[in-house]
Amino acid sequence: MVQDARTIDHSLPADAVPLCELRDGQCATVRAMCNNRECCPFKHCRCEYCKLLRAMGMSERCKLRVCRNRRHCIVQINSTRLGIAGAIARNILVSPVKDNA
Amino acid sequence: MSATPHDAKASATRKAGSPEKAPPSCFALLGNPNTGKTTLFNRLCGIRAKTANFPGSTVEARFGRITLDHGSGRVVDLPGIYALDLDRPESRICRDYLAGDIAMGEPPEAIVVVVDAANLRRNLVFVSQTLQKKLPTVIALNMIDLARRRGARVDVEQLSRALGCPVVPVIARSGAGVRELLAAMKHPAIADAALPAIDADADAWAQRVYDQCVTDDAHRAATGDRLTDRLDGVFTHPILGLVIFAAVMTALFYAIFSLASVPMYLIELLFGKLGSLVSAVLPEGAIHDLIADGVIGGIAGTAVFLPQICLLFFLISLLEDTGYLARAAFVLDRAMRAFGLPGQAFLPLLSAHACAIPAIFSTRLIPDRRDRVAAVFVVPFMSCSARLPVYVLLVGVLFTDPLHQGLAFAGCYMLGAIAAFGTALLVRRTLLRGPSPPMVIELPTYKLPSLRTAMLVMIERGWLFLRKVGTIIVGICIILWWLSAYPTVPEPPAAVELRAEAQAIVDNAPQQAAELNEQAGALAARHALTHSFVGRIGRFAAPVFEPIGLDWQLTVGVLTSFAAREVFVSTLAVMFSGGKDAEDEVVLGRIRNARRDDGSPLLTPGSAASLLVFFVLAMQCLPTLPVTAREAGHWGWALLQLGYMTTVAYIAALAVYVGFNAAGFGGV
Repeated sequence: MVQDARTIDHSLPADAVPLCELRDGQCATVRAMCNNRECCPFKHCRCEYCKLLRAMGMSERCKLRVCRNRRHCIVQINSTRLGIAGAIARNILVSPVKDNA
Repeated sequence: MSATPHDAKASATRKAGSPEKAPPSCFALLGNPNTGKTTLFNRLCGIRAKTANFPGSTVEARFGRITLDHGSGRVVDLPGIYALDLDRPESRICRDYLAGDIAMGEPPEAIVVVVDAANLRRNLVFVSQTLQKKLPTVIALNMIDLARRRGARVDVEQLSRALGCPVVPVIARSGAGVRELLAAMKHPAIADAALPAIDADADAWAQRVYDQCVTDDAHRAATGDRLTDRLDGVFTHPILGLVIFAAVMTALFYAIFSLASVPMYLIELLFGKLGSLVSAVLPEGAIHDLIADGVIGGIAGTAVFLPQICLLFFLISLLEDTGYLARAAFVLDRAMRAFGLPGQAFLPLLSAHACAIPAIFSTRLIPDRRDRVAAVFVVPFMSCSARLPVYVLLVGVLFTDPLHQGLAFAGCYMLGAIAAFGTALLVRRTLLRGPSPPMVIELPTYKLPSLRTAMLVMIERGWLFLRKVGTIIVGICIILWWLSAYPTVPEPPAAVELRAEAQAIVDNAPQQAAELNEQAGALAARHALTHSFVGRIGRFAAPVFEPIGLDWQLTVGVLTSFAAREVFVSTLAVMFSGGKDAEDEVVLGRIRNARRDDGSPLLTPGSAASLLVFFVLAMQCLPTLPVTAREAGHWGWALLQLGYMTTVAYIAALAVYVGFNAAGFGGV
């Protein structure tokens, strides 16, 4: 069973939720990108997934918009549109942006 | 279109070294996927390019010649990567190649980094990695038109100053700016800009450079996003997306089958004429047979697939260019993951219904190596068009009414698909064990496809097929031809008698004489095949196939079908009808009513069913093996594929034969 990132790292902001819980059209700020203990807003995780996501345009503190959230997610970060499997979206923690919620 | 900033160029010249130093002539083309890197490469090199794998890997690069202001040059189109430091084969190859650790011709003297102007912020992170390699660099700012339409204005001179190397705006699709790029490639520069010290700072650095150099029109960007949202809403919809996918794939395969039929016919006609010409010029004998039947027959058998392969790659290139293919992979990913395959595997598995060879080539769309090898391994299970003549023959033995025949056909396709997905699951849990990386895929901007790029991809892939695989395939065909044509034996007495009879009446009854000669030919062909090496091997191997209901004649058919599956029907046609058109209903009827040496029917329901299952599952296409070996990266995979599929087919056929007999359906 995939662990929910919230259960791992207690240093994350209280409003952080998994990306897969956001609604279509909702905007958010990325707080953590994997369930690695090293991955938090204050540490730069070097796991392969974080490196890939970072290279594809997602990084800690970046803003994203959820274009579509079903079992897989489509998110837009600046001009980049990414299709992300649900298994990864569960581990990406984001803080929803209030005025767009 | 603005050109390279003069000041940047001048400073670049200074930084590149002394004025006496010759400008670079060997360039590496680097960039993120979907930045138009290949389109730019095609613009620079045209068809003067060749594809080759890096030594010891399946990662391929394209090599081309270009004409620079200062002479001829060489460009290496490296695979599209998101970062140089990722633990992926493509990233490793790029790292090693830039560091000069891979011997692949001359090492690069300079880099051309292709960046997507419409997605500049992210691309700048990659640029920072390449600039840190401290090689002379030129930035090709591609898709500048798309960026403008999205409301982004890039200050090229400012960007050039910020990066410390020449930046040239280009539109690779139309060729605009390519001349300026070629001029700038004379003066690449080693960046002296303040680059991020560690990767963690790269985002902030990229954002800073972006803010300095780009003015965004948020309204226009939002309009573009809304359109993309609407299209994505349709193409990635769980139900509508699948319906559209099915429609697109149906259209794709309809186009492949219908458009390829004419050139395929022309190729067959051409080689038929060539065979006739050789027959007319060369005297009867071993050399004549080798060239007419072995070489020309072998090449014809290979080249006939060329139109399908070219069309498949042309249409795939168009689809990929529009941005749709990434969406299709995204929609299908969840369903395919249940069997250990990624969403991108749908295209190889579907196109395998035409032919396994181009399908295996198209597994290159799959990014993960384990996923790719698994797809290569299972693709031949899907029922290809070469199996159809065999299905027609055997289903006709089993059922007479069209409904049951149709269901049996569908069953064959389903059995192949079940075996493919089951095997994928098996190999991903055993030989290719390891985490299946969940999908993260970039969904590129929707755009009109480039016909020029699609044409170049088609030419390149078609040539690669003929050059790399054709030689091996032709070799295999020649060997199989030789085994089935030698040793030659004199015509049997019955055939000699028929010919004498025909000679006697040829003046009075020419039509009857021709029929007698035809009968004599049929007897002679059957006699020759029976006494050939293949015939002897068939008799020798018959005990192996006896448990699944085959006699030596069917065994010969099975053995010759390893050249290509449809050869099974033509072999039986030679044995029972003197080699007439194997798709003729009369000939099929003769095969269905043929007898074994003991007088019992050749094909009983039990033997027909077991043979049908055997053909659905067996790896009877030796030309596929070198392609598997090439794409999987090792001959071991090809031999394992042959052994595994043949074993599975044999066991399944045995179970069917035993089941039919136990149920009392095995006999006539």
